[in-house]
Amino acid sequence: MDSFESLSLVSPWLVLAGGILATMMISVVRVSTKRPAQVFAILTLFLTLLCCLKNMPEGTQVLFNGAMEVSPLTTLALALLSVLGILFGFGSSRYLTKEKIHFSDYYHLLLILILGASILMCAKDLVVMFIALEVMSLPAYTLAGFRRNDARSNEAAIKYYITGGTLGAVFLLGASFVFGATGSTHLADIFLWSQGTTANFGLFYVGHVLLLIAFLFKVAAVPFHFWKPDVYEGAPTAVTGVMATVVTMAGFVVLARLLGMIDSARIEWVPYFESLKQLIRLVAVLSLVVGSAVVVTQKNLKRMLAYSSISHSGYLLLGLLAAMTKPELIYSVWIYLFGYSLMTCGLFLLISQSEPREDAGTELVDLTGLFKRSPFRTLLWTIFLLSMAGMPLTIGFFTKYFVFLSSLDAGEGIFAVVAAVCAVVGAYAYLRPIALMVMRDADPTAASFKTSFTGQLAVVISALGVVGWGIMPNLVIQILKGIALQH
Amino acid sequence: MIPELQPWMLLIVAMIVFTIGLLGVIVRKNLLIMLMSIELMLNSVNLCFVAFSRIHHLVEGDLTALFVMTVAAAESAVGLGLVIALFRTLRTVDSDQIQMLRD
Repeated sequence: MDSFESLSLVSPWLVLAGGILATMMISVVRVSTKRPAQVFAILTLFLTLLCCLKNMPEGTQVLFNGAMEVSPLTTLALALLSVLGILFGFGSSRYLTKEKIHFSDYYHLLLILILGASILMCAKDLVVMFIALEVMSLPAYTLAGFRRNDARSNEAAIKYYITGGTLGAVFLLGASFVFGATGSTHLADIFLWSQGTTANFGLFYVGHVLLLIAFLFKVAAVPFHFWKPDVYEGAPTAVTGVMATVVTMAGFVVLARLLGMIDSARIEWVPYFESLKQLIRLVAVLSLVVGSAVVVTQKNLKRMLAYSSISHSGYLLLGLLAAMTKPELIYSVWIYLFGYSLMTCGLFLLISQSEPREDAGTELVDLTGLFKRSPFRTLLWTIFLLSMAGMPLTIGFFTKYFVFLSSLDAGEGIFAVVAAVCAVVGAYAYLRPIALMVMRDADPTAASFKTSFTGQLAVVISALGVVGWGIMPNLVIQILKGIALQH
Repeated sequence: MIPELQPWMLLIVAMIVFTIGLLGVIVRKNLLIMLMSIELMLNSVNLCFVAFSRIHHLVEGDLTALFVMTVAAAESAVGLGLVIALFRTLRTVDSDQIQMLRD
């Protein structure tokens, strides 16, 4: 491939990186809480989105001597991340003003986070993966502590930093063991090595499992989830939304890549691959059960969504498990990621716009009688909560449906049943806020919300996405299935 | 007589240092010590990479160590900033006293 062609393939990433530099210059030249940085960041994301749609690669292209690969999946994922960034950028400006958060730094770090996540999804080399992981994580730690005068925000940032930093070191240790066993950090070379030999198996085994554990921590699957509720509760709400969508998405794409690191078709590797499946099975079921059981008991909306995202990690891991048996079933994971990030984005924007007090996250009781005060907002809440619960006519139904379907297809029927039971238990938690909103009378002292037009628009757009995709699921699902077959 | 330095000895040292770092993060209560322990873990991994690249007669491991050092410096800068922000609001760096977020 000539260099011009590869440049056009990576052009969305280049546009994003250029936009980051420009936004940084603006925050240096004009240190104020006013608009220019926001406008610039959203413009950058729009350009990135256009570039993604224009330069959609055909099939998987390997770039930079095999250090990165660009495929329809990665470019489409970057397009989705740009859309999420635009929605968060529009939707959270009033929240930032209210919390006195520095505009230009916020948007600058948001762009870096998106760049890191999108490179992480392309990485085909363990070192590139580590660097992209840190490029994604460092802005996330900082953003989590952005309400600088609130001790809880600082606590969330420190907790996130300590777990994230430790896990970065664990990932690197795993990478060094894999390097020691195979003599390379390129995933393609490691795949070739696994086809030829099982020498140094013990070292490789330990290294590979350490790599997987590091990313299971990042997506907060159950024995590794303890940091998540605290970080979600303490971080500024708009930032929590970004972490819930962008970081989860990158984490699962990397997990899929790490699980495909060895040639599982070779007879020597079959027992090892089976033991990996057992690990994923265990983690998936634990995440489902713990996530769905604890979400019911939560009184704080952000904490509730943290446990909800843990149970969503469980569904996604079931999808990965099915893909370990039949690789083409990976499409259920992609569908889940795309749908999940759309509805989570809308839900967090709603929370950030309806926080009544200066310092606190929304408690569940704050929603009491919302219907009387604002029927339209109640409708938006209802759409997103029903989608989370997996009701038909929303995207939440199809995401779960395809995970169940692929679990059955891969012969993991018993786990599909477990997941279905957990979905029913979880649905109670999502329906409870709706009952509070509609059936109770409003507290007359409750503060009224003031939302900006753009903020409202961002929520309405994601609600339309959730419902529109739920009514006409075929279009996007066909695209994602096509990608999964190519992969 | 002092035996010649072999790569596997480096690996053993690296593992000991990594364990010290991990225990430091888990056991110690002072946030600054925890930051240092994270740095210790990253540096022990550097030693690992260098030792493995000696074993394989490759240069990739040494280069990786350089990358890791750069990233580790950035990471510790961010971590220190977060600790300072926390100290400004709470006047403590003791992780036992930082417990506003819990079920």
